[in-house]
Amino acid sequence: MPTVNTELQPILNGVVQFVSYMVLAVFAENVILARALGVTRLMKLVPDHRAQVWDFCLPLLLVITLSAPLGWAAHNLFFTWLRDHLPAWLPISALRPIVYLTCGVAAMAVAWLLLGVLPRKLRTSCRNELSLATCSTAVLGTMLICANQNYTILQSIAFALGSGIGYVFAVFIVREGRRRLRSKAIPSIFQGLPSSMIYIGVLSLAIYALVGHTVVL
Amino acid sequence: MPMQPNPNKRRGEERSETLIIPHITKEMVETARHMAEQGASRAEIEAAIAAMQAGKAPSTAAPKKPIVDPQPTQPAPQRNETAHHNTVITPTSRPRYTAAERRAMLEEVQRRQAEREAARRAEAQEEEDRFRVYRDREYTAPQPVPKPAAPQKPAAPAPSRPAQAARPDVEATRTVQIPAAEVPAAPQPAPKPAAPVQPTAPAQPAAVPAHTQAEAAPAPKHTKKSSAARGYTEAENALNERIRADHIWLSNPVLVRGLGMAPVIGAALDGERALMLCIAALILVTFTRVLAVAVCHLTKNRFRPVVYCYSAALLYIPTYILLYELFGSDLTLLGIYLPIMVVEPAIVKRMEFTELEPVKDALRHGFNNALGMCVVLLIVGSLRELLATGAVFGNVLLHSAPLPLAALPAGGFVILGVMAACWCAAANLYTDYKHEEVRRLYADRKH
Repeated sequence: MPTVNTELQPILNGVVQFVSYMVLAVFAENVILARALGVTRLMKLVPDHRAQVWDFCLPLLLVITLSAPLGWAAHNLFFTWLRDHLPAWLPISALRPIVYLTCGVAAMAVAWLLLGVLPRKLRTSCRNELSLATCSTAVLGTMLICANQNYTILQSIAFALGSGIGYVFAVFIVREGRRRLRSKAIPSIFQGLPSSMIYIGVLSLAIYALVGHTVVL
Repeated sequence: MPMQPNPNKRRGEERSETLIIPHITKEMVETARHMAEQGASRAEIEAAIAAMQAGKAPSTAAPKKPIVDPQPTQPAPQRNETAHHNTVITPTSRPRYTAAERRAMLEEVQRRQAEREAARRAEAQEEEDRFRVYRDREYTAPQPVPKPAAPQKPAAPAPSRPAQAARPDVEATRTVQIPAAEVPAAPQPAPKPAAPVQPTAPAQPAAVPAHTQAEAAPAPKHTKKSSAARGYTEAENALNERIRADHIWLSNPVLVRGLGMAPVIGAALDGERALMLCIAALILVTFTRVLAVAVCHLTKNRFRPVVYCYSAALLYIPTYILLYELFGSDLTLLGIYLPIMVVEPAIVKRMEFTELEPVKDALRHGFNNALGMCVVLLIVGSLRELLATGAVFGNVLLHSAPLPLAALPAGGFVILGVMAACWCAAANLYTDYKHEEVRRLYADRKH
């Protein structure tokens, strides 16, 4: 029977935990299908044949992953320190968006540098979409979920990476469904945005049937 | 060209006329000499010769037979000079008018005709004015807005979208049909209505100098057909602009343009949450746009994404305090959907546009967008609460839950999709009717 070194046990546990949180974020708590975050950008990406999916999704993956540790630090370090210095009339929840937005902007700066390793054409197009990816509800929503769930830094990174992958997964699924939804059998008033919404609703219902409970808002 | 015979001249028939020339015979000469020797005057001599020529004078010699016998003439009937001089013919059918009276009557008739013609023209002009006022009010393009002095440059450190996608998401997700009309770069001014026709006096038309006519009616540079086509195009563009500017119904940010879906689907589960989101959206959508546009004017339209997001994040602080005062701990029901409104596309969508709008327009457009979002939030929240629990704002209307699925995000997607379909169908019917009206209004008009 194979045995595992006791020193590797925490590492393996960490890896398993990382993967499980990532899978959780990809399927059970998909950022689009379970929480409807980033649906507007998804609706833009799906019917636009000129827009390359990876031009938006690659910066989104980088920003959402890089912003996760910053968000964890803001939640566990900065807000802990700030809570003692705020006046009574100012609740700390009122400052959450601006703090997490700053984390996202910092992650955008790092992602802008990391995108430099890409080929020139892809780099330019990705950097053009970088600001839109940063100002996405998926990025800010993921940081807020990690803060609300009190995830550790590893869990936050895993959940953020899984959320990004889940977003790309949903984009490709909806894109394929949208291609099939161009059938003439669909009434004209349902073509376009309505049919896509209903299609995402059906997918979301399938996820709900798989999980069996609603996600925490 | 052959000579045509005179049809009045009959062939073989020649008219013979005898020319009787009074001639002086030798006898007359002798008589005149004899009378002159006796001292007769010239008049007497001429009278004697005339008498001899008439054959009345006594002649001693036998009169010679003339060569051509004169035709016997019938004596003319004697005129009744007395009756002619004493009888006055007076017409009794109508009075005899003088020339001045006839001229006055003619002028009167012409004046009445001119009045009738002027009244008819005035009526036609009034109807035309009413038509144009309606048409211009409905379909005239808005006056061009003076552009700000600030140059429009893209964000330098954070590169924005390319210029070719000026309105990318609006058209991509729009379901209401708007034809892709070529919107001119600068809106054309409204067509100036024609001056009303002044009733003139056609009886005495004033002589207009040639140079005055040339100044009054300058030579048009385009034909009537081209001006009609341009007016139709302007009306179509104005109608499309009105459709785009109607952020509540025809270009609703949620149901037509697909913006702001996350809070509608994820958080608008009942009426109370929808009301909280409504107030938050009303403040954030309106004033974020105003604040961001004002800051962009200061930064010369640079750093737009950062400016928009941080404007919303700064405005979130007083908004949260206000909502906390109003709703207390119920605010936590919204979860993450309240803070993520600072990056909601319905709020920060404007950062993708390179043109910088005036602050006044930003306030108006932001308020209209907020109203459109509030309408959808309240409708969806109430409907989902009714379907999921049978109540609206806590008031029980149905004693059973018709569709518990409505409380889930999946139900939110489906309900929003069905609502978008019905909404866009109604909006398309209205826009089709307006487009058909424009076509009919400009179809048979050459101006």
